[in-house]
Amino acid sequence: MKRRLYAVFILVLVLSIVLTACAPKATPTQAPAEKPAEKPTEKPMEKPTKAPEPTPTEAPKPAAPSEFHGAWPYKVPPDGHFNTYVPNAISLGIYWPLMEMPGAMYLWAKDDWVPLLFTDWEFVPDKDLFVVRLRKGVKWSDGSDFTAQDVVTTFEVGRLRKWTVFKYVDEVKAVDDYTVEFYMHNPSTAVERYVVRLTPIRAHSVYGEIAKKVQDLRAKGVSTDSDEWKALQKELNEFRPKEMVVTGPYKIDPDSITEAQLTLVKNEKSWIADKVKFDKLVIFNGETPTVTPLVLAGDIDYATHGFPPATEKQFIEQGIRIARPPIYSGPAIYFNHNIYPLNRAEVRQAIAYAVNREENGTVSLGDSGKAVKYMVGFSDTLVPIWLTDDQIAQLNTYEYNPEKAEEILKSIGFKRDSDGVWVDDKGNRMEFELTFPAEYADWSAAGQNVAEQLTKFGIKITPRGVQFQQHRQDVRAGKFQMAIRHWGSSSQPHPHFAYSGVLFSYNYVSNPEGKGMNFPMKQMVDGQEVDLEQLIVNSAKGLDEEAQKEQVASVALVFNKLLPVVPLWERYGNNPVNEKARVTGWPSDDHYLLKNSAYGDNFVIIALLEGMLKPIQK
Amino acid sequence: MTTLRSTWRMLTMNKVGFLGLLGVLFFVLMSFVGPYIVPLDTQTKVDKIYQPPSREFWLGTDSEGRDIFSQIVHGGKEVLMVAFLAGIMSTGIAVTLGALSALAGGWIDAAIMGLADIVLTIPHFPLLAVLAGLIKLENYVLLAFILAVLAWPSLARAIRAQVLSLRERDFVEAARALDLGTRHIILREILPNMISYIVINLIFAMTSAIYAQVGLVFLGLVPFSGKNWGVMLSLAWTRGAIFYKNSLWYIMSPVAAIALFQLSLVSLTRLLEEIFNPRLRTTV
Amino acid sequence: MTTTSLTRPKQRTLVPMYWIMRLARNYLLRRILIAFAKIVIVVTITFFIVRLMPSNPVETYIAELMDQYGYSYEEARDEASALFNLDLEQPLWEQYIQYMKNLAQGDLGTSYRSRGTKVSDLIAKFLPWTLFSVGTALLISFTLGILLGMIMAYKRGSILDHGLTSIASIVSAIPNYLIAMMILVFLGVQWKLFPITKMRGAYSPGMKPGFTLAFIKDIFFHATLPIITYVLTTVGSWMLAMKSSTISTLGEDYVTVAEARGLPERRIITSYVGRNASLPLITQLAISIGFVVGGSTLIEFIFVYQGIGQLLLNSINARDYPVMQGVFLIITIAVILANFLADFVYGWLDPRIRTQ
Repeated sequence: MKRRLYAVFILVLVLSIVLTACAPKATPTQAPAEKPAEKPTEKPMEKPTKAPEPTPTEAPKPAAPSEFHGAWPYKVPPDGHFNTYVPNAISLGIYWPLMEMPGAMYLWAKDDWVPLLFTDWEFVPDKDLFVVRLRKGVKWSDGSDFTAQDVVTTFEVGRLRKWTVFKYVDEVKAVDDYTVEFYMHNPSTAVERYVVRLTPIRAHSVYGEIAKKVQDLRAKGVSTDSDEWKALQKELNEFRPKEMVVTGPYKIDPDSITEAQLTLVKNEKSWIADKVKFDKLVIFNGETPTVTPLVLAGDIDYATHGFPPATEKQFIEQGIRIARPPIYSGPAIYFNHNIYPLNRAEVRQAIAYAVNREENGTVSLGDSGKAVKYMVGFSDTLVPIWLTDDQIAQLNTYEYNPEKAEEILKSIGFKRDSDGVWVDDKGNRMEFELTFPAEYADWSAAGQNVAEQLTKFGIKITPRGVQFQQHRQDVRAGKFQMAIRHWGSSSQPHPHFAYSGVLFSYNYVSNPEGKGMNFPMKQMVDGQEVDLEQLIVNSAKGLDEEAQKEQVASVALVFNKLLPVVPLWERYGNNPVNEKARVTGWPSDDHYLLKNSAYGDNFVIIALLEGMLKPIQK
Repeated sequence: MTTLRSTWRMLTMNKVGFLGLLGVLFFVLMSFVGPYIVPLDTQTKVDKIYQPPSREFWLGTDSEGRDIFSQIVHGGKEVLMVAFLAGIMSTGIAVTLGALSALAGGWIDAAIMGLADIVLTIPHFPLLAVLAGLIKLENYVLLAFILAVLAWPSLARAIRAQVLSLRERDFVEAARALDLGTRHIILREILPNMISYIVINLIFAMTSAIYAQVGLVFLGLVPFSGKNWGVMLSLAWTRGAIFYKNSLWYIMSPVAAIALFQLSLVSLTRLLEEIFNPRLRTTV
Repeated sequence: MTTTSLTRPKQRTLVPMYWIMRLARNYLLRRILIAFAKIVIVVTITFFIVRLMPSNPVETYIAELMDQYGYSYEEARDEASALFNLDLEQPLWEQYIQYMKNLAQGDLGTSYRSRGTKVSDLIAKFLPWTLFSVGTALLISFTLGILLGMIMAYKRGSILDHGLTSIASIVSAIPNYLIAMMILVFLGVQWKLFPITKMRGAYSPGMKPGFTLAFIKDIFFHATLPIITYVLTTVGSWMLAMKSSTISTLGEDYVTVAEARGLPERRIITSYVGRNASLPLITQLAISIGFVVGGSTLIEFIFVYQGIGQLLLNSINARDYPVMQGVFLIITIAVILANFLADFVYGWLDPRIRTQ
């Protein structure tokens, strides 16, 4: 009996060793003679001949199909799905516009548009109307025509998801097959971006039925709190179309989806199919640590993940180009304004002078962490668009200057204790805890570095990493002293969103119960009372951009003076771009496309749609 | 004089074990005395980020251009203390409860094993996350205690099984027949027979405590500081240090410290085995 | 391995019915009831701690919209409210009673995040891969550990022993996610021994599951790296534990007696030493088998392997209570069942404790 037991053990052992050993042998191992680290150019690229991939839609071609390799995290079915109205859809972030297209994409630095499904659009101010005209001759991948009906359906179904656009718009009407009118009850220039860019247009053939039910319920005057409405929401939430019906040049091949990767195949019916140059896009699933080895192995052409500086250095070492598109946001020091003396503007100004933002950016994100210059609460790049030269001249840039910081603190009656730690005018030592999301490599590095710098300056800071979900909750609930969270907005160019995202979302304005940083929005500045909340709300109101600029400028000047939060640096992407493997035609670093927000209107997506990016001819 | 010499002879009896002892002593010295000799480098040097090892920086520099070697020296104390305390506590709980369970039997046995199963099965991550929301720890004894309370069950089960088996052995039965008392039976007959097994498990318990602390730092239960090998490793990990050839030192140094410390401990057990289990000397 | 050959001759003479009755009344039934009670207790505790965790499904969804899509808090909150319109308003204890009722009917509920997706479907999709990869690895690791551990004990003091001990103790001190990443970076990227890009995932794209040679080869190919990592990181502790256990056994009287009786060496090694020395490891094996179900979150994450650990990680990040609860439930059942079995296996391997 005992012998049998061991015989079984040994058998199992031998069997499993044989099985595992045979596995790697079944694949071609490359000659390990050359170390790829030194010679990335000679890296033998695997030929894109993936045998078991069924691509029935494609006509036989003489050459191997050309591929573009990207990366984006997604969930596999049944967790992931193709209903792009609800979470866990396989919509692939920046790659979404290649499938379900929006009306247009935006060029941030030029303040201009790349029209896609919409050819032109305009506000009609005296009628509080926004009119959109559609491209003609566009077909969906299931063969149906793209018409105004699709746009109406898209927005009708969006009502079930309580889309923000309905804060401004109440009716969406098809005037004819190619014209749609949006009636605004709360006119705002923000409607343009919501309608034209942020809403990919879905197929009426897929969502039409649900849209019809929405229209019926609304015709009946049913409220959004009713059970009927909720039942319809549930229906939408649980709706699982078999595939994504698209107008864009690519569509997901559902059979290709594994945990590791999926394939976007060419949608030959697309109006733009002839313009794009790749037969397939392979998207690798994964977060930063799992995508990094693939980039290093040369199997990924472009990725937007947040790579830490060490990884970036290795990319550069291997001859991979780093593109640095702006993100239009970054980390800032938040203060709990309930705590004395953090609620004094002088203290926050002193802190702004005492922290070397350049050093902080470099240790946190290398060359992609660029110190904030103007300190107005939105990106330096956008400052010239919104402020006049005179206004810019009034801004304090808080250049690193510990002596100045010292001076400010002394001027308000603070002294240094025997060990050099500052004591405020009420006799309390300046000792605080600074929290940050522990998992975010760049923010936790920024937080640690701020703690070290301020401790050296004499404000004793204990850094504490907090689980990232807990951290947001803590800050919103006001359970913190100082914290690292974001400033700016990566998806909306209008400064309104940069301001509301910080001063509303993390303040009492949108959490009456937790109060967040509890920064008073009514402030006395130079003897005048300013209502920041009103100014920020008004900055996006109406259709008169000049009037908005005035509001934005007022907020910017107050922000610069009071520093409710201290912006540290602006994050730029550090996207690896592999120029040698499969893809060529990459825009250069000074190209206007690289001024686009990497997540808002990614440059590679526009370059793919424009046919700029091409396969390398072998 | 003679006791000194015989102690020396006993210690050097096993060369590997002796090396292990020296290794453990080295780590203890480095961690508790070293910080007084090597100052902790806290100066951010933007131009020295991720330097390879050099005469100036023996183990290179980290993401802020600070000396890694000094961090290793300063990062041991906390780790060693928590690991040691947590290891002792969890092994202590495991041995006590495991032996008690086996010897007492009946409902006590059922209750202890039930508890063990429950502690073992309750998912630890949510539990710790809940704890993190409730308390903030500054005290290392308490930290070690939390780690120990979560770590004892699997060893307790193994101990119980061994005691059950040993209980029926001839020498234990003989002792029982001689009416030497439970205390004697446990301490003199059963424990010595399990000592090497217990010690090996103690060492594993210590190592897992080193890593378990890291989770607590990331949950915010304990402050975030680089002065701890486990935390250093995690920071190096999230900062992608493993991918860059010059930053490999950043991630490998704490790993090497932990691994060498464990190797020293494991080697040390050889010595302990020979001291505690004299029968080995004759059989091997 | 049948159980009939294990019963002692004396018991064979008993009337089987009587034997079963006695067992059922006194021991087995009681044990089953206890195991069941443990499962209920753990499920209950888990239910509450999962909901006491900081943040909740609505907050995490809001956070995701804010972080990934740049929504303001209001926008995100509105969209979230349209998604979670009824679930979280009931009092906790009502939710608990509802959950237990559903559970009693075998209903694990539906995902909060991926609305309407059945938790049982998700588990069915992810669990087999974990069972396959971790199970295979555990078998290899345990067997290898037992064999090497015994060899080390026998060749105590040799170079082989020192070498293996050093390697084992160093490797078991390195966290598994680091080993996994080192395999990717060094073996994959630097030395190109493995085509790591192709090895990601649990199977190749377009591969149709089935009992075909191609499919079996394919899944072993994809599981190779996770299995290597599991084995590397666990074999050391099995080796060292087996070695110390063997050494204790070698000192036992019965081994000395057996040697004195001149029994063949091999017989002593397998029946006397090996069997007794592996006893204490059996309970740990049982515990490990229980945890096979849980897999290793980080290893599955790093190799992008479609296992239950990935599912758990995603559900924890989204605070998707029903999915978390479902995964924890099967882990609970597996661990408690494994321990339950361990006691029997142990009794069978070591007749001395089979006295009750």
